[in-house]
Amino acid sequence: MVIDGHVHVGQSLYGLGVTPEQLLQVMDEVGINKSVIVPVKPRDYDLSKANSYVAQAVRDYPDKFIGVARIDPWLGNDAIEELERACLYQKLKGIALHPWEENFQINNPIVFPIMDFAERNKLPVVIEGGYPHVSHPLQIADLARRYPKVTVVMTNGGELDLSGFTRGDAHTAMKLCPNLIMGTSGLCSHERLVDTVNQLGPNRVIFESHLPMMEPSLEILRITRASISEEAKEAALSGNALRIYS
Amino acid sequence: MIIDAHAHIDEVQALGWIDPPEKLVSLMDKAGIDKAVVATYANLPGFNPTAMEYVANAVNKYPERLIPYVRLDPWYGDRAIEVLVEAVEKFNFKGVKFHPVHYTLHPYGEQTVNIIKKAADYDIPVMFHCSDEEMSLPLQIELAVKKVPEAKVICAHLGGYFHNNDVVRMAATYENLYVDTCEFPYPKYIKKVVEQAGAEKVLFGTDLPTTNPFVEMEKIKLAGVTEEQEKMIFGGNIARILKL
Repeated sequence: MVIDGHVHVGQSLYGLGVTPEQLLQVMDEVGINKSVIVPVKPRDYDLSKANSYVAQAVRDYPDKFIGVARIDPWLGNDAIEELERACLYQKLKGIALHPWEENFQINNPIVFPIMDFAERNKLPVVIEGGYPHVSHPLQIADLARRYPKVTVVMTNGGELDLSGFTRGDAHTAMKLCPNLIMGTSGLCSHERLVDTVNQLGPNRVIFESHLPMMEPSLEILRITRASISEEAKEAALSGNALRIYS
Repeated sequence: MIIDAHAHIDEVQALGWIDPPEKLVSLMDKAGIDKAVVATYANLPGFNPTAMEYVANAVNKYPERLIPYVRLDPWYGDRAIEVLVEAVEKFNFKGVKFHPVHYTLHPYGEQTVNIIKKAADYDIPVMFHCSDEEMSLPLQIELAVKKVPEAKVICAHLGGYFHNNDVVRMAATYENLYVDTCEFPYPKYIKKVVEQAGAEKVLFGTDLPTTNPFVEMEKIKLAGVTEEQEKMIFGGNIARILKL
């Protein structure tokens, strides 16, 4: 069983886009059984409609997709109402925040009511990690440590920095916050993956392809070809996602 | 023959990056990589004056496997040039590595340009860390390339996560500009460089030992280039540049 922990569906304002049907084809080619799907930022800027699109895809293919709602914390109470609609009524299984595309720092207090909602409703929060100024891993840790009961998934390992300097910060963030999980898309440092598994245990890592930004056939190799135990591979490829999105 | 155009050996306690040559060579053996270009993490001149001997000793131990580049800090001006002269003339180093994020200087500043000119005199390549961070942006490196068009300049990491289009355009624009493929995550941009600049511009690199060599190799195979182009990328091009 392979679960892709992070895929964007729909036509993005920023050019890329896959439909649920195109995603199913890619999953088939790469050997992925199930995908956690998150809306793109759509051309009409309407994340509520985009959440409904994801919810519809989950209804159409319930064995294939786990849906996550995306909201803009700048919308204040409207964002909370949208979460009630998308997560409580449409049954999406998590909350996605994209600080880069929605323009906010992840530890800005506008995010706190969303974390309160996540805690009340036992929903995981997925944060696009590693973007300069808005989702540096220590900013993510500053949020995550305030909500120790909320599972926080940071994508991209929390580092989009090939100089390697953010790597130590991201690892420190993981050590500071036991509720923090890292996704592996674009995570070039195999040593970081191995250190995470060996030092923090096999439950802190999930495979994510980050389609369409990244390439699933390459991304999956970061786990399948890693020097970690079979147990840790299985946890990263499915066990951890099943637990987080149960 | 598979040649990795970008790898590291060094032992830097302050960063916790402990990567002796044995560790690199063992990963190369595992992945089937025949030779690797190596540089330290430390810049010269700098906090570790023995960095050049460290690399030279490693090459003596693995003469068929390791190809040395000298990693320089242009802050030191003429002293950095003296190190380059010693590296080439005494130790037969084959190229220069710049990581401007480590020393925080503009790539097109006079002190860096002077070193690039000296490297061009020796006809050895200059590799820049070329990614998303300040001081290593492709457009900053382009200004250096314009000042020394005869120098062979390698943009490592193909522009990182976000600056790939700039690097593709630069590879297509400047005759002596090359790219390497290590760490960055997009096979499709390898194909773009091949299509727009030519397969002779692309160098396979891993940034070992922190990375997974199998992932880095598969990235090339996923780019969708011809078998002949793949061979050039996996070693033919860097062998030509370094006159191996």
